[in-house]
Amino acid sequence: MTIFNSLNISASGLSLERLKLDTISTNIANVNTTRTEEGGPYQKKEVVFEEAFKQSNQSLNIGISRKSFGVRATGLVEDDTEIREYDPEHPDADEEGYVLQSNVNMADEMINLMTTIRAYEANATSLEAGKDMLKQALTISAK
Amino acid sequence: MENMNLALLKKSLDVVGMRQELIASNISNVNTPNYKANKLEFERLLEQAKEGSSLKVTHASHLGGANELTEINPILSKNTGTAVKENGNNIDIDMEMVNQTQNNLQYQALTAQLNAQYARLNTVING
Repeated sequence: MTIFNSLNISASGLSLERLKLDTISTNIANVNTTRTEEGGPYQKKEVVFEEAFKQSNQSLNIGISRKSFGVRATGLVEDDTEIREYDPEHPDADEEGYVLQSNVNMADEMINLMTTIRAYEANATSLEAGKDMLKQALTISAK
Repeated sequence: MENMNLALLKKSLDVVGMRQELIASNISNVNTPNYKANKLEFERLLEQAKEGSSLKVTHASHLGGANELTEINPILSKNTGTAVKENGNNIDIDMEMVNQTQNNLQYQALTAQLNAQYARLNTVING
């Protein structure tokens, strides 16, 4: 249904921010993980995303065939920087006593977390505004 | 005149509805790399046309006459005026939120107008 476009657009924003939030939570949870299934320490993950488009079938003639339709995630990338720490007591230490640590930077994650939460809120507000407008439309000649 | 009013209100509602979509899109792309803000121009075009409409066009070859107001279409453009963040994105979230509120109120005003219009018609019909 075309009239719900603006709600769907806000929903795409909400779901992207939610995915980012999940990723950040995973990063924070694994800040000290030195051993993973794939071997080696936990590698920080980041969501990549881009603008989404939709073929336009607008009743208004504005001369475009595709229009911006929110946002969509395109994948997860791993940051492969290596961090080695000297800790000979650690069970994962190599012969020289170095341990490969996860490359999660707590300060970075917290800042990303704040940005994500704010963006989520902005999308929620936008959804609310779109909903208000649809409700308004229902009052047309409702008496 | 009555019909013209209704048609113009309908068109304006369409435009404001579409602008809501654009603003929602801008807000959802607040952190998207290289995204540029979209905006929809309509009221200014309407204003311009209204100014020109004082001259009545009675012949096809008359110059400078305004089109029918309802034939004016909104123009979609990319906003390149505001500051660009380091990832090439130029969404100003404050601007977008204000625009959204404004747009919302405009929608309310238009629906109120439309309702008043119908109420008047109703009065005429029912006496």
